[in-house]
Amino acid sequence: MEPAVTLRTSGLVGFEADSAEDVLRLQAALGEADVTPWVVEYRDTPEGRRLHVYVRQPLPGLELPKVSYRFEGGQLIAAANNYYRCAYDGGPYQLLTVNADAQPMTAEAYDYFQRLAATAERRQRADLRAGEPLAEGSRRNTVFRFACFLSRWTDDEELAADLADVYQQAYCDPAHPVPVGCAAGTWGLARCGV
Amino acid sequence: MPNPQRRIWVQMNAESFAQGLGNWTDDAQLAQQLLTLWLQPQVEGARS
Repeated sequence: MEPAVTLRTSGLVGFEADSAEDVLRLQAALGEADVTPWVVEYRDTPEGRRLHVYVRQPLPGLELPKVSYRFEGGQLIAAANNYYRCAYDGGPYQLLTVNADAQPMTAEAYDYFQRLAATAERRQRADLRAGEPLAEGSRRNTVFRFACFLSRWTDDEELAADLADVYQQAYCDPAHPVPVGCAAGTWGLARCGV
Repeated sequence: MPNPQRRIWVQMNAESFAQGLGNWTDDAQLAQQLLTLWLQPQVEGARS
C-alpha cells in the first residue's frame, strides 16, 4: 500500500496537476492568488511532470467546502476531500521544495480558488448539456454525481448501474474502463450519503 | 391486475424523473433511453 496524505484531516489544502499544461495552469493560478506552497512534490511520467502542492489550511473558523483542487485534462475539479499519494516511505512522488516559513492560505486566496472551481464547474455543465464529452479527470466525479441523482429515483442497484452505464457511455471520452464497477461503486457511496 | 393508484404514481414520478434528467442532458434521445430503462421495472410493478 502506497503512502498517502489525506488533505482535510491533515489540515491541508492540496493542488494536483497531471500534465505539463496543467502544471502551467496551476502555477499561474497559485501566482494569481499569491499562494506560497508549503510542500511541493513531483512525479515524472511519460505524459510529463505531475505536481502535488500542499498549503496549510486557512486559519480555523473558516468553512472549507473544498480542500482539493485537481487540474486534470484542462479541467479543474474541486473536491471536499481527497488523498494524494506522496513522497514519504517509498511513495511514487519526490520532494521538490519545502518552505518551512510558508503561511497558511489566506481567506482571500481560498475564495479565489473556490470561484475558479465554480466557474470551471459551470463551464463543464454547459459543455455537457451541449453534448461535449467529459474529459478524463472528471468522469468518475460526474458519474458519481449522476449515481447520487439516481439514488433518489430507485433503490435497485442493478438498474442504477445500467442507467449510469448508458449515461457514461454517452458522455465519457474515453469511456470508463470498468463501467459497471464504476457505477456500482459510486452507487454504494451515493447510498451511504457520501 | 393493473393497480390504478400505482400507475398514477409511476406517471407522476416519470414526469419528475424526466425533468431531473434535463439537468444532466439536452440529448432527447439519451433522455428517452434513460427514462425507458428506468420506467420498465416501475411499469411492471404497476401491473402487479
